[in-house]
Amino acid sequence: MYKRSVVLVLAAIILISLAAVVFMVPRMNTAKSGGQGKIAIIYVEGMIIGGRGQTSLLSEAGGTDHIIRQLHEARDDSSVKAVVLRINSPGGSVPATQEVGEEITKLRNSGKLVVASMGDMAASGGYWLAAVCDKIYANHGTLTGSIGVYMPYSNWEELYKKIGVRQEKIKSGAHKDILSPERQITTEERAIIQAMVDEMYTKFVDTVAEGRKMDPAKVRQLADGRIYTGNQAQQLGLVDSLGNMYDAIDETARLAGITGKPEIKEYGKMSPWSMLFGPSDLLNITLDRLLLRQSQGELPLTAPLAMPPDKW
Amino acid sequence: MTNIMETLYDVIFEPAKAMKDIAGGKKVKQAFIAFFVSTILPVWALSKGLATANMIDFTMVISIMHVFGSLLIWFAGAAVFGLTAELFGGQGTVAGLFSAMGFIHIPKLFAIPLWALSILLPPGVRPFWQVAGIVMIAIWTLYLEIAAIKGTYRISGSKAVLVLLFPAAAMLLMLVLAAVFLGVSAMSAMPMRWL
Repeated sequence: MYKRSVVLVLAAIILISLAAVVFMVPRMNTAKSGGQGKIAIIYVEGMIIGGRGQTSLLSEAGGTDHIIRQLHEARDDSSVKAVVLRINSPGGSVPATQEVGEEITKLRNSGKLVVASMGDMAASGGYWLAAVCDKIYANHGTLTGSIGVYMPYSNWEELYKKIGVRQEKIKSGAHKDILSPERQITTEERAIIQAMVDEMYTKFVDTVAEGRKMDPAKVRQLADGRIYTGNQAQQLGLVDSLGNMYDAIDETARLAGITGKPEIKEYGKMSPWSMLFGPSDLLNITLDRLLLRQSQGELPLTAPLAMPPDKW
Repeated sequence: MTNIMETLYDVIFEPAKAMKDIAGGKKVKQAFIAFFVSTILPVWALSKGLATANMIDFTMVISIMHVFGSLLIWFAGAAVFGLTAELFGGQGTVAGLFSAMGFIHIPKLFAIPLWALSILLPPGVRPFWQVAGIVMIAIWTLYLEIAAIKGTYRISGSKAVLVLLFPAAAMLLMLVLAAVFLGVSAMSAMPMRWL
C-alpha cells in the first residue's frame, strides 16, 4: 500500500509537470511577449514558379503552392497580427506571381499588415510581390526594379539546317506552333505575342501604381525593365525605407501596435533533412534552364517576369 | 506476483532487488508498459515545448528517432548483453534481461518535472539546471542498466560494467582492424613507381 501511494504521488507530480509544460509554457511565452500577437515571416526565395515544388514528409520547398499555403495559414491564425514577406528573388512567371500577389492582397484585406523586406534581390516578379505589400524595406544595395515582361523566343532554324534536321508539323491552326524554335516567327505572330506582353505589362504597371499609390504614367517611365539599387528605388518612390529584415520586423511591430520585442513565427523553416543533405537540385532552377525547358515544350508557355541571370 | 506500481517503486528506490525480481519473474508485459510510458511521455512533452519555439520539424525527427532507437537498443541490447554476460560466466535468461531492461528508461520520466521547474528558474541558471538534470538522468539510467545485467545474470558489479562495455569495445576493435586491413590493402595495391 505504501509503495503504491509513493508511486501514485510521483505519477501525480509527473503528470502535473507534464500539463504545466504542455499548457503553461505556450501561455507564459504569449504573456512574455505581451500577448499582443505574433509577426509571421514568410520567405519568397528563388524563381517564382507555380506548382508544388518539392514536398516531402518533413518539408516543402520550391514552387509557389507552399507560399500560398503559408499565406493562408497566416491569415487563418488569429495570433498573427502582421506578416513580413522576406523576398530574395529575381522574379518568375507571370501567373505564379499574380497568384501569390492576389493572396497577399487577400491577407491585407483580412486586416493583417504585410511588410516586404528585400534581401539581395527583389526584381521583376519579386518587386511585383513587394508592390502589393503595405510597406517596402530594402537594403542599400538590393537589386530591385526590372519592372517589365518579356516572352523568350529562340530561332534554331540555321542550326537545324546545318545538322540536317527538318521538322514537319501537321497543325490544327496557323498559330498552333507559335514560338517554335525551328522557324522564323511571322509578323502576325509577333503582333500576337506583343499584344500579350503589352497586356501583362499593363497589369504589372497598374499593380505597381495601385500598390505604391503612384501615377501609372510615372510608373511607366520607371518601368522600362531597368534594375535599381535599393537606394535608387527609394529615391524614385519604389521603396519606402532602407534597412535590413530586423528593421522591417521592428517597423512592422510598431505599425501593428506591438510594444516590446515581437514574437516571431517563422514559416517554411528548413527541415533537418535539408540541413543535412542540402537543397535539392530541383530547387536550383535557373532562368536559362527554365527557358530551355520552355522552348522544348516541357513547360506551359508563361511570360517570365524575371531579371535574366546575365544581369545578376 | 507484484503489480506494476510496486515494481516501479522498487525500480526507483531499490533497483538492485527490483531488477533481480523482474528478471526472475520475466515481467515482459510490465516491461513493455514501462518502456512505452517512459520513452513516449518525455518525448511528447519535449515536442510540445519545442513546438512553441516553431521547431516542429526537429521534434518530429527527434521523437521518432528516440522511440524507435530506444526500442531497437532494447531488443538488440538484451540479446548482445545476454550473450556477453553468459560469456563472462553469468547465469540468467535473455527474456529476464529483456524484461529488466524495459525499466531502465524510468528515470527519463523525471526529466518532465525537472524541465517544468527549470521554467520557473531565472534564465541565467536554467541551462545549468537542465544540463545537471540530463547528466543525473543519464547516470541513473546507466546505473539501472548495470543493475539489470547484474541482477539478471547474478554477476558482480565490475563484471556487469565489463558486459556493458564489451560490445562497444569489440565493435571499436573491429573498426580499427577493418581500417588497418583496408589501409594495408590499399597500400599494397598502389603501384610502386619508385622501384
